[in-house]
Amino acid sequence: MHISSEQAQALKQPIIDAFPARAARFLRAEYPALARQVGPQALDAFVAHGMQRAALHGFASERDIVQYLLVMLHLGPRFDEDADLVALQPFLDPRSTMPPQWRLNVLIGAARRRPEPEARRAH
Amino acid sequence: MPIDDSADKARKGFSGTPPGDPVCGCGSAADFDPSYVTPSVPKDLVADERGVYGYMPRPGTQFAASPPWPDWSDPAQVAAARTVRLDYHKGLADEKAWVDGMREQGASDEAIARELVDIRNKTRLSKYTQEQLPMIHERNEREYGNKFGPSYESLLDKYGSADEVIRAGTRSNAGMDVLTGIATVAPAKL
Repeated sequence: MHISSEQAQALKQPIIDAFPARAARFLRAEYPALARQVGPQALDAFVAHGMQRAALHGFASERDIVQYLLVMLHLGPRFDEDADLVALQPFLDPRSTMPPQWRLNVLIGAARRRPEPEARRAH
Repeated sequence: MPIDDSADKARKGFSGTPPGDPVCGCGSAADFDPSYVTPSVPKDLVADERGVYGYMPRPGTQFAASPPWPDWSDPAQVAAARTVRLDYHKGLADEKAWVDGMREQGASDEAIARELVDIRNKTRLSKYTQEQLPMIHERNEREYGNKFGPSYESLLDKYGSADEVIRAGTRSNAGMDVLTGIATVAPAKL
């Protein structure tokens, strides 16, 4: 049986589309109170924005993107443009020789030092 | 939910490939486990059942002062210190993997050491807010003559070779590892 490139693309599409939904579901499960507060549409928009920003910073795999979304939840959706967090810029540089997971570990360390997102929003 | 727990779940629950690509078992999804056995009790510790992991610092030694160090008999304080220590070990593992990768690519020890010193300085600075940075820059300037931290040249003077500069940052303190439960002391031979 021969599958054309269009058919292959069509077969692939639901898989591509599934990732944002899975990522949103994961965030909802991990931060239920926050997800309830912002609502499903805002969460979907947050994931879509995060996927774009993650790609800009050289985080390509599903695993890396979801970790990037977690950092965004803790540091803010535009933390990568935040002048107060300029010390994180070297770890957002896609040309860095540091592998993505190492850069993410540093970003996760920075996020850990901030209040929990649910607590921050409550204030 | 602490970010470390969520990040661990993300590493296990999502693929190491870009969205839409075939799923592979590539990349590291395994639990990070830096635990090891140390052959003897580190000299600045003493066996003491009050310690969360069975040891307390000897009075007057490096980790005895609380603060800045935690009360080593308080489970909550020790758990927080363990999280920080695990993060430190994760950094060491990342660093070692990077050094191995750079060597495989044929980079010289000097090139690796220079870049590593820069990465270590940037990583250290990443722990501070923009407001704290001027104070840290000033301290670094005073201590190292360089606002970003120790320079490669100053570390070369201190350690004698590029290889030793690379090694210097990858050593771990066994006393701290025992206090935080990352290292266990081998039972004494009878």
